Amino acid sequence: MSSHKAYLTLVTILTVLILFFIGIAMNGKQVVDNSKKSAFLLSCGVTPPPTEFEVRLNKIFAALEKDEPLPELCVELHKQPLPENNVPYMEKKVPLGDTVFMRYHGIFSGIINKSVARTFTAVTLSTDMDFKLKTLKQLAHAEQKNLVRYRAWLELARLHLRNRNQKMASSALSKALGITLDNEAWKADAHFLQASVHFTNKDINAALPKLETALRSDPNFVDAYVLYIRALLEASLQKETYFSQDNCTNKLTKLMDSLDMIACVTNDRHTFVHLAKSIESLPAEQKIKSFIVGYGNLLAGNYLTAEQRMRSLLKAKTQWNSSPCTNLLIKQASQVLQKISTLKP
Amino acid sequence: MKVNATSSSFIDAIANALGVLIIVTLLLVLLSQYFAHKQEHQDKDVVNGQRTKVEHGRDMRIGTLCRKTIIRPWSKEYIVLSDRVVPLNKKAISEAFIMESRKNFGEISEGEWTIFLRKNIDRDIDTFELEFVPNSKAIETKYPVWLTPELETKVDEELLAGLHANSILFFFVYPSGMELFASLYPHLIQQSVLFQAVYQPSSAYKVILWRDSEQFDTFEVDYHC
Repeated sequence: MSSHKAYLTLVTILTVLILFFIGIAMNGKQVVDNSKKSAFLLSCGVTPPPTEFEVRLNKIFAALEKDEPLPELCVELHKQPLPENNVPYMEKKVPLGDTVFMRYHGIFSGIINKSVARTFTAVTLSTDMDFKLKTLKQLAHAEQKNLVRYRAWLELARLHLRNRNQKMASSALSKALGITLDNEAWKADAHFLQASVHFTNKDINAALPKLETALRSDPNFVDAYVLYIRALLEASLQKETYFSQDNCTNKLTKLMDSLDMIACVTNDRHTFVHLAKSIESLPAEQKIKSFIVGYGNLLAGNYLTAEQRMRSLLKAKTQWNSSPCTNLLIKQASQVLQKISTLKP
Repeated sequence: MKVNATSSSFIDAIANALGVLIIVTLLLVLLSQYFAHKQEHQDKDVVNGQRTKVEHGRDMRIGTLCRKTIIRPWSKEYIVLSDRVVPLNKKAISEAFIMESRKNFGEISEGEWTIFLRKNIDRDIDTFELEFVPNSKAIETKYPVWLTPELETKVDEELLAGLHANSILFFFVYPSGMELFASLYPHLIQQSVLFQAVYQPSSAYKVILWRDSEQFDTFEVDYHC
């Protein structure tokens, strides 16, 4: 009995050692390019490692087959914490909130006096633009707490933006960003509004980094994800720069990540179905749009629509010039279709 | 063996009887819940002056249709009653509110207003709820009746003039204004103007506008209303 045990231990140790040496040998061959590596692996009867997109697809399909897939998918894909189940409604994050103060609970707690709250309420209720601007300016310049002055400049920027006065909006936003706050994450809104100013001026390339800053500050900011998706899609019209391989892969990943995050932070897979309607009418390169609408529907579990979009994308491929980006789109669309086909009986 | 067969048929009979009992109990429970629900709704309809009652629905334009009736900050609200269309004077209310340092209620020429602020400001600084009770008598004295032949010009001159870009018209329709609103409806459609309406089932129903975190919890409202 004991000799049998010793034999088993020996075999295990030997296997581990062999695997270890194979690992070292493979690492040393990293100079070999990917296609040669996969050909080598195939010839050895080993399947090549899955691409990043395949890994993503596998996770989505694995999650979709379970009963409550969304929280698991969020953790799997983006290491997002699980939604707050035990927090009372009034204290929950509200990712669709229009300001950081609406999205999170208790930022203003204990520092606002009633008269300031009354003034802000009157400004919100009134539809008289002159009254709004005048009252907010007084608050922004007054001897008030930094957070109150920041909120006032933010609201002024929103009003100017609505009046299509981008110059005034920009200047209000620089004032807002100049104020020191306890938590710099609260400035996500100012960065987002700066991006909106650029977006209104049709300067997509300036809007994108601002949105990235806003989302780094507040990863629960749904409005910023939505504008980011719009900007990334609209950028696809700049064909020369967009369709170079690195840029294309990078932008497609960012688009998919943003859709995942919207589903995760709103804790609602179907949010995309509502979003898709607005995406369809956006100015963007049709194939990118088809792919993204297909991907979003896949995320929502609408296999049929996802399949339709990917098929329509592949149908149109004969009309395209071959480029690394279009090849990538074709490959990924086929992978989605192949995955969906494995679901059918 | 015989004993066993008898006992198993006995158990069968008992099991069947229990099954029937369970079905009957379930039916009773469901029926009682249905009646309790119905009763509750009837009670709610009778009580006047509570929060604008809203229901599910998809039609964008008429009736009490949205799960949550959300009024965008740039909407222009109108009260339709006694064959008149009266603007909700938010400017006067907000000016009166800011003038008073403590009072949270007051009166303007179209009715009475009350504004509730949160005791503890736990969300955005301008989280509030406005309740407005229109005063039909005052409105009847101050505003002229909208006559059917002049509706087209009224829509152009009073509703569309001064309407900002990206804002919509919002109507609170009371029973005494329903007939007028029905005639107004085709004119609004003709003008391709975006509008929403809620039906206020009795004259004691308040107009309620609010801003709170609960109105930001889903995308769906944008598409249902």
